[in-house]
Amino acid sequence: MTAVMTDDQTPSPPAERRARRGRGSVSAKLVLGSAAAVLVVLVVYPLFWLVLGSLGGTDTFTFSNYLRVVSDPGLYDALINTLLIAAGSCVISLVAGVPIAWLISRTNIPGKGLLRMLTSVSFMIPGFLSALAYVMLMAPNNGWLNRLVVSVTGAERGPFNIYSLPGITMVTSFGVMAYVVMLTSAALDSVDSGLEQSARILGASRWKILMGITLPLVTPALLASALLVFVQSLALFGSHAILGLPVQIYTLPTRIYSLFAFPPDYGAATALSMMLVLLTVGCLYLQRRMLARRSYITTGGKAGVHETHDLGRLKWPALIGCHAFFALAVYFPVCVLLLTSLMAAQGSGLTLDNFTFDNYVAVLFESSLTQRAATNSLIVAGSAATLGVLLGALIAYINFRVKPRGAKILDYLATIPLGLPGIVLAVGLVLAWIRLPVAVYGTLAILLIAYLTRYIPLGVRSADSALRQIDPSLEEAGRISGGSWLRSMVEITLPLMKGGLVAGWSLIFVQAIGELAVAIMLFTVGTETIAVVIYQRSEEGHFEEVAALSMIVLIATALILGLTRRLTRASVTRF
Amino acid sequence: MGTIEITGLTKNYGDVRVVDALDLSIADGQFVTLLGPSGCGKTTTLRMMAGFISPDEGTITVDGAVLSSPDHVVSPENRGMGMVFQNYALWPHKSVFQNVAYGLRMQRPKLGREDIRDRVATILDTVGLAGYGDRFPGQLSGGQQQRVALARSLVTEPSILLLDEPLSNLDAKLRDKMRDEVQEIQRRTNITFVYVTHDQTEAMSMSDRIAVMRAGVLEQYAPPRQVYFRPASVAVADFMGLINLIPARVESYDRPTATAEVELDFGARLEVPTADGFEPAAGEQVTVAVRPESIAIRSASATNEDPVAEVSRVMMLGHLCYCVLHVGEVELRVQTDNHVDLDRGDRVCLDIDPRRACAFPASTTSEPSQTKELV
Repeated sequence: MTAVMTDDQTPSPPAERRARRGRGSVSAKLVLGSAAAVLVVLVVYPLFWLVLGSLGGTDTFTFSNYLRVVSDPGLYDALINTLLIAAGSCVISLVAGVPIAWLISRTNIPGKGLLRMLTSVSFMIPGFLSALAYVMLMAPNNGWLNRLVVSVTGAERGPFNIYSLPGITMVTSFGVMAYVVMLTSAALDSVDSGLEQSARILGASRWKILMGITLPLVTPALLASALLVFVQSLALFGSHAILGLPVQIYTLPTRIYSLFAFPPDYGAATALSMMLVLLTVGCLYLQRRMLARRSYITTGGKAGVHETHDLGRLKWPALIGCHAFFALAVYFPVCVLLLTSLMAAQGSGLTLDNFTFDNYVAVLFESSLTQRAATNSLIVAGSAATLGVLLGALIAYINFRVKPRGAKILDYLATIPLGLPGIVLAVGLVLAWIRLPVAVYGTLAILLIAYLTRYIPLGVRSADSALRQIDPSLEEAGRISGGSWLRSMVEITLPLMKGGLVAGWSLIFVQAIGELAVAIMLFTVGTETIAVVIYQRSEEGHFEEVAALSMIVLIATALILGLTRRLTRASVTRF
Repeated sequence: MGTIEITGLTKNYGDVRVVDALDLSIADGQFVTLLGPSGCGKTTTLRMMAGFISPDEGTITVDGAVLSSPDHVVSPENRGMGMVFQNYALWPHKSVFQNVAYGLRMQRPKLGREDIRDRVATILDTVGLAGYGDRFPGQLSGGQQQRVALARSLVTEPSILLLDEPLSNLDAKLRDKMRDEVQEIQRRTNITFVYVTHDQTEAMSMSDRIAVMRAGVLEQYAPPRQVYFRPASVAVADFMGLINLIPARVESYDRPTATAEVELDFGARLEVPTADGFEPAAGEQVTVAVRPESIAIRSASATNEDPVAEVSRVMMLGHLCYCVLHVGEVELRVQTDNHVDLDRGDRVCLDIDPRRACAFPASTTSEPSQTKELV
């Protein structure tokens, strides 16, 4: 065979090359196999202990825990409260979210970019921080708004009491309304514009089209997002705890939490957790069924550009309405936190004498507790994000490319954590790891394990969407050129997934930083996260420092998100 | 050294037998094309050769070593082959240089950096892309991307190059040009090329041998002229180009010359060769296959000659003409030069070149495929 180029190099003789049999496939099996094994251990292990614990633990097998829980009158209150909050937050999210989504997608409302950003911000603000901000605003005696009303009207006391079911519902809805906006505008964008245009040609009015064609087409996605909101609201520990516990309003998550107070009642806690899980899983299953019905939205036509309605004079009322909602959801909380963080004493009002940076100085430089907590948060969130994204990439790879026989099981396992409220996961982990000789419980490691388990679905999902954009032939070309499977992953597949992986990383990081339920169950002295410290300080009443810490969390979150957005935009052209 | 021996190769996807007991022998330095319609199993066969798919039955042996069998498949990186993909599969995040150098970097013992640089430069020069090393695939045209893909696969000097419909994404003019270049490269390097396509023109112009496949089965494996003029079956004949299929009856069969005296449905009598292995009996119904270019149209010469064919359509294609004629029940397509002057309804005589016709067993559907492209 005549060589194409000069004869200096003799490539390895064919026989030797072929002797390197199948080594590539061994490393692939090893890596992917261990990823799958890790997933199984992470998800199945705590779940197993949860179920076991609810049925009596290792000593007996009994249904007595369930019977006890069911016959406890306090439970019904907690259950009703939880359902009311979830339902209420559903309603608020739909009432606010659907119009906002429609205005953003289909009208010429000014400042769409701002509205989209505000939606994302409302989602990113940790629930318990919103709750704290509203405590500062609407606490019955000292809340700013109440004091304002009192000073203006001379009434005995202000009308607002955030420590109430409506209060909890409102604050909860702020954090989850983004789901409705995002899912609804996605659905609106994907409606075949031909469906609406043909109605127009036939003479239907704009309003009729909206009510009779557009909305019905979008309804499955709407309902799916409502269910998602319902599920999330069931378990939003932060607002339930901060706004409910001080006045003995219990919900399922806070009830579970209180059962861990000394002496801990594992039996009741696990039984209650199982009930919460069943409720969550049931709703998620319904949601999946709903989403499966949306196929008829895009079949048979091009989605894409729709005509934007001119709101005319209604433009300004609509804009004011949107921003009024975001005032409650975003502006007020952020402002309150910002201002309080700059005050020496919260009660002394907004005066120049009261202005100080001392709070920031105290938390950043003088308190070893907050410094440690901040470090802990960064370490745990960063590691959880990195590992979560890597594990997610490998799992997505198994599901999408390799498609082995057990792939469906792996897919379900990766999705299960979505159905586990944070508090429930924490319960399972406490039981699972407390009995091991390995000193995992009581260290940062258990938090890392918890967050990894909790956020794997996010990792898998971002990796999955990134992987779908990469044609398999790119990896095949790498392999036939002589590179092993591992080499292809590292040099070809993972770099091309970079955008999706970075987005996934920042999503997990932000959620982990603002996570309270798991952290508060699993921390010990020395392993507090910043969320835990904020919660503890707020219980002690140090609102100025709490506000400073909260602002630091918010600023850090915003920075991370901004940075990752710039990184993903600057990434090399994707295939 | 790049000989490939395929024995009994079979692949099933569920109930469908995508490749059915394929036997194929490819000699060193040959340009062999796997040709067939979509779904015939040619791409699956190629991918089994590459090691991406494992066979359910059968073996693939290269230079005496079994690389693929149902129990064990040597992984693609260890087979010493190169591959050019239909969509080029260039890595968008790597430069042209990095794309081409990748294979060289994977070689053990490790090549020196200077060495790699030289070899990449040389191969880029060979494909006409000297100096393009720093560009990225996104900045290149389709034709340029194709050449980078070629360069990448050739730079490692494989003994076998697999090409999966590499020209199908190019426009017609570029395709012609690249066809020449690909063929030229194969001649010069003497690498064994295994080429997959559904375009019979491509197959015929480039190959030493064509393997015509249909529904997972190898229909014929022969040099282009033989596949075109002596197709193994009506199906092969139909795939290779427009074909007229005329029902006829055998008068007599002459074994030594392998020809049969047949009477065509519309009366004409011819002495035509029979298909390989086909020995019809007298009185048997057969199908006579003849290409449009092997039929001539003329007006009636003698006064007692009846112009039997009626013109129903004339299609002027620029460089030639196709006339659709009816003779009795039979519809014929005849190729003529482009200055013929015929109209619908004209009656003409036909002369069929018997040496270019072939008699096959009568098939259940003797309709020539209507969907065949004319050019």
